[in-house]
Amino acid sequence: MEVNLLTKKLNKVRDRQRIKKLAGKILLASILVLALIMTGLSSYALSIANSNKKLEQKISLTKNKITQFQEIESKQVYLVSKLGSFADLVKLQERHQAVAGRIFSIIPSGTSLQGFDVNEDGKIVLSGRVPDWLKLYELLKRIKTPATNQLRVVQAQVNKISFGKTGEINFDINIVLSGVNQ
Amino acid sequence: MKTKQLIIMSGIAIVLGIVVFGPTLSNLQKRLSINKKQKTELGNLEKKLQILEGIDKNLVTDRVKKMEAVFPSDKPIIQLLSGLSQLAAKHNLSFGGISLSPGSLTKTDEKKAETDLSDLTFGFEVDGEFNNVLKFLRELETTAPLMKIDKVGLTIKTSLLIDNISTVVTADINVSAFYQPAPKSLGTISQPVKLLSRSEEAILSRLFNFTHFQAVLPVAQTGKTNLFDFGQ
Repeated sequence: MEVNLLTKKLNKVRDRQRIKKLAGKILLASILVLALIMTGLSSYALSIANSNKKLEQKISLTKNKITQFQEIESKQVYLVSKLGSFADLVKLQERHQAVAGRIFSIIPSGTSLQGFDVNEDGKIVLSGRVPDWLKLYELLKRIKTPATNQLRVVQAQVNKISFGKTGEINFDINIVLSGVNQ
Repeated sequence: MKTKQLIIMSGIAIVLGIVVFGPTLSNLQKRLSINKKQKTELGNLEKKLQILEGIDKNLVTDRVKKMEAVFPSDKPIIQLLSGLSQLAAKHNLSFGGISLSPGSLTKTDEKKAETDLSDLTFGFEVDGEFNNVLKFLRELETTAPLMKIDKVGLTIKTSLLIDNISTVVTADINVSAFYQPAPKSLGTISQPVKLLSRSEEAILSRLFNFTHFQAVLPVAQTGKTNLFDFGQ
């Protein structure tokens, strides 16, 4: 009986060679693919770098243009910075004018005011003189009449009523207005 | 044998990936992030430029002048006294009895922020006809610089007269005038500029309702005068 050992060995060697060839091909293909990806990435990075340069130039150009408007910008910033407080003060002033208007609307013509004092709490001390009872009645009626605006009289106290030598009537009244501190 | 070769090849691929692609990818990532930042910055700057181009230069200048007269950046002592005396004169009232506490003339108040609202309180008296005093009081709050009446005391001087038209009164008035320092810097160039809303525009238009009296300062000759200068 004759055994051919060479065939088996030959097959093994052929297999190894095939594997080596295949591995070589795969390696080459991988290297090619990697090189392609690398080239793609590099060219993308380059285009981004170019875009960044252009953006930088545009930014610098826009900054230069903005600098030319610095005077207008500073004025605008100034106005904006003061606007909040100014708006609050204007509102406060409106309330004050309303208080003053309400007080002057209470006083009938022919009344002599000896003094009146208004504080921020809405408390008013009103003292003066009217020529007769009718005027005093009118004054008290006006104090009691509800106001059309927010500033109505919530509290009124007659502290003193006295008669003068010539028949005139002196008065001293405390009034509290609502809505003054809103 | 086959497995060994596959492991070796995979190892080579991973090493290649780390060595070659790692820095390239991180570099790309950096550039992309810079690109994103720059695009945002450019967008903001272009928006700011557009806003600034849209602002009317003359209008904003007028508003700043008026704002400075009505709501000044410094203590408005001279403007205040000048304005009040001129307003009193306008209504035929005598003006006096001023009690003013101007406080520090330099900015030493460190507790307050530089852009905080401050006020200057003072008292004065006006004498004259009752109706003129009323007109004065009504106009006081629309006179520059911005003032708020804190307290009013009226005293009748000619007590025998009942008719208020000819009644002479003394009004003792306490007033607060307001001022607020202007911002010192504009901030960074990329900081946006705020456009005014309609309601804010309406508030600003109120500035023009205020009467502004020119500050009159006493003129005194100082220094040497050439007595022989005949204007040749």
